[in-house]
Amino acid sequence: MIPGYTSPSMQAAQRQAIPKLSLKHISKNFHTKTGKFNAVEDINLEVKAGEFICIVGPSGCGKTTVLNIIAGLEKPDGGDALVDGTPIKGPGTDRLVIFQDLALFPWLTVSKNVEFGLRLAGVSKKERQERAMHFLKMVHLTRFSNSCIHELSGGMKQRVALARALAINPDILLMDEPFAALDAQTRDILHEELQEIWVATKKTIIFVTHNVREAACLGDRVLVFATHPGRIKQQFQLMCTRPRHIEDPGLMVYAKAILAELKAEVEKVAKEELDYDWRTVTKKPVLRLDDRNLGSGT
Amino acid sequence: MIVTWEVAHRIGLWPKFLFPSPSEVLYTLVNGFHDKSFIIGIIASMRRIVIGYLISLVAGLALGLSFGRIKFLEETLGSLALGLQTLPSICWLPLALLWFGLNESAIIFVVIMGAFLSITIATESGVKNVPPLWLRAGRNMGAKGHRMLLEVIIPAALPSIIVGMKQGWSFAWRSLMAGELSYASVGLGHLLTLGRELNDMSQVLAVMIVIIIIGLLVDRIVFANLERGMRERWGLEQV
Repeated sequence: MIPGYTSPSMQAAQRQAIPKLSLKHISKNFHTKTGKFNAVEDINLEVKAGEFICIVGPSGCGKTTVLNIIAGLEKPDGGDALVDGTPIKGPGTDRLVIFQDLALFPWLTVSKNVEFGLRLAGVSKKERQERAMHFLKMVHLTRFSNSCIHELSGGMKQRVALARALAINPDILLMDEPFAALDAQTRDILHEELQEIWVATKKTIIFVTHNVREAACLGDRVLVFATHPGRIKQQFQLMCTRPRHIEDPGLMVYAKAILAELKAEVEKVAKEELDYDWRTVTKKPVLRLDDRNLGSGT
Repeated sequence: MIVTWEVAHRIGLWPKFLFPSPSEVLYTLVNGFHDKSFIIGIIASMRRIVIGYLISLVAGLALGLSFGRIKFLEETLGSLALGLQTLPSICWLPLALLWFGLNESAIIFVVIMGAFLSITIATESGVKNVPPLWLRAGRNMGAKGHRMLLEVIIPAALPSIIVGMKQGWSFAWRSLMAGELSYASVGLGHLLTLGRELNDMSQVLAVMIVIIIIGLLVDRIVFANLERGMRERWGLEQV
């Protein structure tokens, strides 16, 4: 945190009574060639300041739509979306999205990308650079501050996107499957660091993912979305201590329960998308060695 | 090749007045620069093209950006721009002569008509192809209106704009030469006409060489650097 700077989130923390974010009966339709498509319906959610929420759900369940509504990039067709008790009217820098494809700007260097939002906000050059450096330090990328975006690896780009969002000092961080394209090891490291950063900055985070174990690892609360229409099917409150690691045995209990909820949804989607003869493989016998073609010679 | 040319000329494979030898061309070239007639011509031509090109650049960018952002304009004037681009810009000369009279403005107008439409069209397509994700990211971080245009849309469309600028330059250069050949009192095109009228083929060839060299220099130095800088920054080399 920059000295002498009181973030809106700190002020908000003093007004505990009002939830940081609340969604009331949110619905959203999309119009496609085949007709009206109900993306999300009757979403109700209250998020406390500083809470870490994970959303899991099958593809097409409207997770991203919900994020976009919170970000103010899309308008709900029905219901109210409130931040600190005031309705969301369009995008605001108090709610920043880290997009799935990151959306870093290739014409800017790493530090200029991090400074982007600050420049728009009219922050002076000196302060901009200081803050960019501060957050690049937080994600351990100061050595690459003058690099071009295309020179970075996937994990490094992820860090830049995180620094860019944090530099603007939002209250709410909306992360849309940010680690989906990374390898497992890089993801592990980022899970740990994200938890650290979350603790250090006290942001409210809403994190969308496909990965149940990732959700169990990161979230204070995990929401399982159902599809057609997208809605909240089940919520899990996770009581595990932090910092957590994705392999923690304590988390497995939760992950299993979440997965059970999710699996039913994923199968429902598969049934709609695939041929009629498709069915889940429930009890497949263990493969014999010679089925696997391991070159055993038999 | 130059040696063969010189030898062929010496043994008289063709009438000497129709096609001069390289040494004669070189002599005319040096002489032309020495008595400043070439320099005056180059300055006159460069002045026209720089003025014409700068106006095209500003107008083309402005029009291309508005076509790309305002659907109504694109639907009405966009197709007109595409249609007009098929017209070789020298066809505007008669009109320009009537509008502006026998002066610099007429030629500059022809240059503008050569360059500005290709810059417009390239800018428009660049703007329309900006990934929506970047626009959302910009909006999310507080970009609106002209800030959005300057900080996100124009930089994102830059690769396409540079291509348009390069193409626009070569169109402008061609249009200028055509214009000067048809009508001009000074300039490189005029030197070509003069060479023809005086039956001075070595002057014609010498001027042609100057035109090629200027065209190459601008392309290699200005646009090649511009493009390379952009490509390195974006990392387009690897793709």
